[in-house]
Amino acid sequence: MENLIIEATKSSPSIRLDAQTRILEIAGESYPENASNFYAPIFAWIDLFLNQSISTPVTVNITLRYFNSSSAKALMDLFDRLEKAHADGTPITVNWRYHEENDSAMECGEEFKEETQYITFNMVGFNDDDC
Amino acid sequence: MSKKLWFKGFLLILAVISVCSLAFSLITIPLTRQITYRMSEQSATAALDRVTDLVTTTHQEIESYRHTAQEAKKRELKDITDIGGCFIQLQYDAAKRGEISEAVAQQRAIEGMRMLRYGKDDYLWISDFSSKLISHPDPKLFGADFSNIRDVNGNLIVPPMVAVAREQGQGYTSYWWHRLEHNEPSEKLTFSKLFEPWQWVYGSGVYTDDITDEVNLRRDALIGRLRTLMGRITIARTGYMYIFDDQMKMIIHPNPQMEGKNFAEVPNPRTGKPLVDELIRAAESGKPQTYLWDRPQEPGHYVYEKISWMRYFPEFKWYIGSSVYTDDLFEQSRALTTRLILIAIATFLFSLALGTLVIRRFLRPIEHLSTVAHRVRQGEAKLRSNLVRNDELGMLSKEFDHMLDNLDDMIENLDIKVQEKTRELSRQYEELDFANNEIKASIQYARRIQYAILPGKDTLPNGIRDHFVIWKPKDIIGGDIFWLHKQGHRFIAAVIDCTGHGVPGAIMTMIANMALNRVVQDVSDDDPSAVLKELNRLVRISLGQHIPGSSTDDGLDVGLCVVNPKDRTLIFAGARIGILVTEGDMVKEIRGDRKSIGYRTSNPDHIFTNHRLALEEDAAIYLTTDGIFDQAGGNRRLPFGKRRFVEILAAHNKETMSMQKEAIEQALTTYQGSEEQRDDITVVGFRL
Repeated sequence: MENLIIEATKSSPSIRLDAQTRILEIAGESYPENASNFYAPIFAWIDLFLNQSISTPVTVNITLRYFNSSSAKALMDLFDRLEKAHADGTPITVNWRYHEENDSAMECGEEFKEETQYITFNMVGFNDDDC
Repeated sequence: MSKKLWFKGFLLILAVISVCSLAFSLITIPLTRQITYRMSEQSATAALDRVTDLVTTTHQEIESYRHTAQEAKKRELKDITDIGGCFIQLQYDAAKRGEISEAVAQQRAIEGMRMLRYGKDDYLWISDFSSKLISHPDPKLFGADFSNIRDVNGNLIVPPMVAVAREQGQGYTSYWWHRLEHNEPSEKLTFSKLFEPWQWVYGSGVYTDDITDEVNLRRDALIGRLRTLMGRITIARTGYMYIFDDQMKMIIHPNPQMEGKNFAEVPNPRTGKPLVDELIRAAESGKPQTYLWDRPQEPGHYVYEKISWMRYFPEFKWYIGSSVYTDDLFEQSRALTTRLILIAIATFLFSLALGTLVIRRFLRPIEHLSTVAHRVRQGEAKLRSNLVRNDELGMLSKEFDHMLDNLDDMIENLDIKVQEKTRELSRQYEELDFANNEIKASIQYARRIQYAILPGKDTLPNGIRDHFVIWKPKDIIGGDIFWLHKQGHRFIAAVIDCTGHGVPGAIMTMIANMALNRVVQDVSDDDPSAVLKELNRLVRISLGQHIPGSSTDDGLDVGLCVVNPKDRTLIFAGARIGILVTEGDMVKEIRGDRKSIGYRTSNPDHIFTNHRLALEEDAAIYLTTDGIFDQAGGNRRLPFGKRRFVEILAAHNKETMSMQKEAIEQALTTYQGSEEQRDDITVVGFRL
């Protein structure tokens, strides 16, 4: 299936969902006025994607500097879908990437980690030397 | 406007004509010199020819005359001598016949011969074989011995006469003698004959100087004629002819002072050598000789260059010369050259003028087109070139005008459309502007309403000694409020962060405010947990979110504390909002439950945790929404963060609340920089 690529804007993250490499990337900031509208096509794509080649591992890289509460809800939605897929046999690895000085991002990541049981949830800190 | 084309054309014509004129001049002018020279040479040579012809003819005539005259004289001499001989023969014959004796015969012969005269005192003589004169009219010479007498040239006189008579019987001889009346010696022609029987030689002589005189006369006549002829001849205007002989004597010369002068010593001022030698050499070689001479008007000034062509006439030993003054020779060519140059210049100017005129005519329509194009561009949109011609320029003009017409139409159309569009846009803008202003006004008014529901200064509980409030909605109105309720000596303080910001957030704050008021009144005013649980239920129902499939999913986060200033106790419960309390020099955080209130997904049965605290003497209490934590800024555009906030509180711990507010606001402004405000910010701090 075709990849989904959405360019970042001031208030929405860049989305790169690659069906061939099975690497899904969300990066930037997420505070769109209407989060459900923004994330709808992404959920649609992911639902379709997770229905194919079940059992081939998927990697999700999330690097969000900031996100508002409605985006947090959307992310939780996303993790629910991933949990279900993992439970159905697709190994899912989530890399939650955050700048080491970004406490809020780290804390949110840890909260998400607590909320998820099955998927592999990695906390990945980086500083200025890294990308 | 530049006149480049005309200038270029002009330059081109100028160049072409210049080159032509120059070439013409360069080619023809040297030619004229050459031609003039050649012409002079020819003229000089022709004059030489004429003179030579005349001299030759005259010479021939003179020679012819001389010959004839001489022959006549000879004939005369012979005849006379023959007659003398006859007379002698007669006497001899008479003696032979016995009529007279031989001595008488000889005597008679001698006498007779003595008496004979002819011409102008011309006579006969008799000599014996030893050159003794037997008969001579002059008594002085009678019987003279002439065997050793010599003439003016040193030659013997009589002996040769005797010799020729004896050897050949008769013959002519001549000798040179001074005659009385003459300065020069004269030649005498003699005829002598032999009379064998008596061994006599007899003869007669005549002076030929009359022939010579005649010859000289004729030669002088020739010279006179030549002088006249040569006087009439001019070569190259001032050139002339002259003749000198091999004695270096000038025979004929236009300068009368030169005639008769011996100029053997006169040098050629240029070479220093005798001029005459060089001229003689020129005659031999046939090449002309160049030298410096004077002019008739300036005698003695030998500064003018001349060329002479020479010819030698050997019969007279004459050197005939034909000369021209170089200056004058080339004067002619110069005149011609000047004329040529003038013609060239005139042609040049004329061609230039003509060419310029032609180009002008040619260029005028082009210039016109150019001008029109320029003016149209400057704004005269209706201007056209209007050239009516039957050539390419006419076509260009026509097409050009058409193009301008098209352009005009297009622009008009465009203009109209643009005007329409502009009018429409203008109208739309006005509408938008109006709507925007309306909205802004509306929101400004809404802010007043929101502000109205916030606790005012007069509602401040007694127990609060010092406090600050930072309330900064993101967009004039927002989803954050702070809430206060007094109950006797107790009070309840809360900060509420509703979904969203701006208008929807503000609407939610209204609902939250009313709901909280209701809960505190109806359910509990001292149990934060109970309050939150009830608030949760109420908000859910208010928004119809308790029904599955509801269209909205909005709610709020809350941090609420019940404070008893008397016994310095504080009970806190939070939904995703915590509380900060100073403890000594530190600031302690108590986190709220990780559950939101009012959302569709909120669990209506969730029991929120109550946290009990004992407050120390100078305790300060802070309630804040996440607005300040989430503010982006700094070098890396990362969120402000809870840690930073806590550090500020700790740093300004001992200061008054207003100073702490200042510190917080300052830090926030600095950190925020040029970033826009991320979310509604609400920070409440109070000290008991």
